[in-house]
Amino acid sequence: MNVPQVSLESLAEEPSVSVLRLSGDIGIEHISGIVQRVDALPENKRAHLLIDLSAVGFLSSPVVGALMGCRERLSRKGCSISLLSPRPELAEKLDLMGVNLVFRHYRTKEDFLKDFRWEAREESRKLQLQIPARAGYVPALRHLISGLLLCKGYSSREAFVLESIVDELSNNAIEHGHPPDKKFCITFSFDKRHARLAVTNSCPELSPEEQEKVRDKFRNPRVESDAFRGRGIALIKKLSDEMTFHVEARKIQVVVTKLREEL
Amino acid sequence: MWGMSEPETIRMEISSDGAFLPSVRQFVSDAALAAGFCPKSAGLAEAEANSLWIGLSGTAPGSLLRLDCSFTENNSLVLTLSDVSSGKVHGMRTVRGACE
Repeated sequence: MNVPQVSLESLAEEPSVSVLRLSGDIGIEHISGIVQRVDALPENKRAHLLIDLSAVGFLSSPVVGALMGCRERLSRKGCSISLLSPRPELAEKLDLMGVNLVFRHYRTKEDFLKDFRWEAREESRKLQLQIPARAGYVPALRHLISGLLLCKGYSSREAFVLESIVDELSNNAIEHGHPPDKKFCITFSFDKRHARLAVTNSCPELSPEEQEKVRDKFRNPRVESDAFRGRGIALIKKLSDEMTFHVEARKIQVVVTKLREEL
Repeated sequence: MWGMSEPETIRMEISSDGAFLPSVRQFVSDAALAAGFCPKSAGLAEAEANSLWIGLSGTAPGSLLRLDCSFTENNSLVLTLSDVSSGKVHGMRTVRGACE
């Protein structure tokens, strides 16, 4: 077994993340070294402490208790804390102690960085789809968009709004676009604050008058009170924060931006 | 498969975030059903998408993955997972569409 060691350093990829590296069997005699280092971390709302357990064979209960205390004090400074790569046997013990309910833990540094950059750096996530222009695929698209948003903390209501928008725009691209290449494209990106969706389709060549007619439909959607259909654009305008469109002779693109309602 | 007279491909490019796996899996299953696969084969397609994705080792943060779902004329679905920037193919799976 290696000689137990405690060290603190910055993470090369993210300097605001400090890594508390522990190795060997960590017992009560190491608590003061851990606490001293953690308490010396400066006050910083974007800071984070990652405790690397990949080389730890045993972690005693008092050390776990001390780490919980560190977490409490760090959270008052605005810092967050999580665990990295405990070995399977140690992870099982920590789970039994309920540590997994208090600390987030990550299997790899890459997994941690992805989550950290989403949370702290407000990094966006992207999805691009080229999909055959068949209405049968639209429910699959709806579920996909909704699932991506829900797993990153968007509410069911927010996910449903985006789902409805993608449904309307996709059906419009298929039904009214008649894309000669028989496919359409979806570009979707979102971060913690907003989502942006672009639906693009090719179309049979439109004369300048026809292009203007399409633009007018986007600018001034008319909803007939006794009609069953034709509410799509009006609905999208109502549900979104911004809707823009680009109509060319052989291409139509609609771009919708939706800001988070619940953060 | 209903309405499908020629091969169709869905090309998805998505941020490599482990949290997205359940949604991607579900999408493959939903798309297979929409392409006329029976529920059992759609379930198999979902399982194959799952195994492709979890077989990835430590993709770089911020990287994009490409998943091609190609429905072929002989009633099969070919799933190909690759890295967008390097083009490296991580894996490929084929699923038959009709239950016996």
